[in-house]
Amino acid sequence: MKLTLEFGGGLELLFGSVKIHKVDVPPPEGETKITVKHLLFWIRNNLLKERPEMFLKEKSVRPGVLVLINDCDWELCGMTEAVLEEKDSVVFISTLHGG
Amino acid sequence: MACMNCETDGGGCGSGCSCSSSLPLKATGAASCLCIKCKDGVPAITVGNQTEPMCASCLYVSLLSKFKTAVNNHGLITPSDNVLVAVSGGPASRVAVEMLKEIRSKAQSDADASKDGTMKVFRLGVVYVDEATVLRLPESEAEAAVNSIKEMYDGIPVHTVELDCVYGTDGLPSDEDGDSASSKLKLTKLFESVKDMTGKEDMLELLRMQAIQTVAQISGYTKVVLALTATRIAAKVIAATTKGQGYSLPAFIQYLDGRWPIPVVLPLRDCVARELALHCHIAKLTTIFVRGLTTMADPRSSLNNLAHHFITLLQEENPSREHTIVRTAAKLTSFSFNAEVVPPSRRRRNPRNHDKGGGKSELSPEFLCSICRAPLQSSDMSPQTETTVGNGRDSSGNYADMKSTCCPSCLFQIFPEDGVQAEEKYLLFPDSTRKASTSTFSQRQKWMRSQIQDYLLPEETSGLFEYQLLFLTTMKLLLNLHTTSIYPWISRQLLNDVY
Repeated sequence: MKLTLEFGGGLELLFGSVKIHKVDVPPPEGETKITVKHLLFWIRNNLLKERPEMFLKEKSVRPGVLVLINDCDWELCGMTEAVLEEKDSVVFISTLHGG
Repeated sequence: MACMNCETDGGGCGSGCSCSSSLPLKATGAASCLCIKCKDGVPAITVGNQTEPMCASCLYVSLLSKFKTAVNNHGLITPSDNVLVAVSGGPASRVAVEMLKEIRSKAQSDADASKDGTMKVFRLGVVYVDEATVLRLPESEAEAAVNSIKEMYDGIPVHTVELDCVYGTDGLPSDEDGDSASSKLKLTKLFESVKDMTGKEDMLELLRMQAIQTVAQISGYTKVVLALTATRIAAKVIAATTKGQGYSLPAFIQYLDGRWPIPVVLPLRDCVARELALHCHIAKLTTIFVRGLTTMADPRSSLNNLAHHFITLLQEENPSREHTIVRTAAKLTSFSFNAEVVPPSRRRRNPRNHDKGGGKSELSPEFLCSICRAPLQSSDMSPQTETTVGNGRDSSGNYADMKSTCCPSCLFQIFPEDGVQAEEKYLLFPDSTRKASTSTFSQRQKWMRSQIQDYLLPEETSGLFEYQLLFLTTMKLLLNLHTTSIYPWISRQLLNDVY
């Protein structure tokens, strides 16, 4: 499944200072749907260059990271259970740094 | 993306969604995914104001109204002001400038429409402080940051200044290459000499403020806007508490801070970082990210960093925690320099503002820490050592003056040295800091003298004064009593002994 991932607010430093990543994420074995939870695992295993604890905490993103799925706050979409579709965009913005 | 429970595509449970409200929503209200402010069923994109699902435009309206309320109710910006916004490239300062631009363009059109043309509109500029020397950023990165800032704020005056301008003489940044190299070296040395990471961060913040003030003074600005959000202020409150800055804490969390030559205002005090970042993303406002001292470091690397992580953790549990902390801390009595100039039209509506901030200033003038400008508690002012009192001091001051006019927190984190090391470090501080320490020191001497004036010996025997002072400060320490109450008593005893 093709997805566009965007990292901002300093999170890009964990991904080789590249903000936008166009990725192809395979669904988990025996399933056809991809949830955000699966995407996070996939990012950790395939994309994250360093310091996973700066991005993830347990099975979710770490506090202070804003997640938007197609420009909609993931709190309104079911957080980690939200189901992704082809060509969706997922944005991660860290608010840990000031303005 | 599709709604979890039904097959409708697009922005969450949009208007066509017929799912029940079984989503694990933090938001209240069964209709859940619609903006609760718009009446026409626009899908919400976020949860604003802690519990309200909102669409993008309502989010902006809500942010703007909080900003305007802060500006108007507290008289932060008047039409005759020349406003300088300190920008970092991050979302908060970006939004602050956008909002000020919008308010200004509205005021401009009102002014154009007015018949006599006497209506004034405030002017706007931004300043960016390049801290590459301290942060050890490669030159290309620093240059790219400066260029993006200039691009971002196209159309308004942009001042970019390097942090070492604080070493400029008489407030003018040094232009010559030799000067600039030596001040950069001084700056690097100063930061190297501060061992504690929290101290380094605090020091950077102070020098940044001095640089901003320098620019503001040279270019004739009358207000400095800092885009400190509720999130950051809450973190500051927690950090200041852990650093033992309880007394001075109320000084830097108010809307107005008049400790600096150009008053500093915080109009974003009621907005949280999360909403601002979200708005920046939705409105496609570009932001840049510049590495800081503790970027990518362990949260425990500094108290400030730890406090910030703590706040975001609290926020995750309950989205209104930041506001709660800021509002609770705001109940503390502020200082006279935090008193707002409330426009006459607003006065009757906010009767509380009148006496706000007067409380602590009646007993003694406010003495500020010469490093961080935190107000000093009278018991914090350490007594002068024998060298400063006994020997003749030249007017340029020395490290002992500075140390005696430092708050305990700076003494611990920034300036713990003594002896030769302290002397060396003292010389690394910018002139303005050293001047401030000398003037605070002499002001305090003067004030102390005025407090005991009635009990002093006649002029011809005033050589005794210095010894009296030494005696008094020792007594004060021994008795650990409040300065103002004990001085007259001791002086009287002293006089009895002399005669």
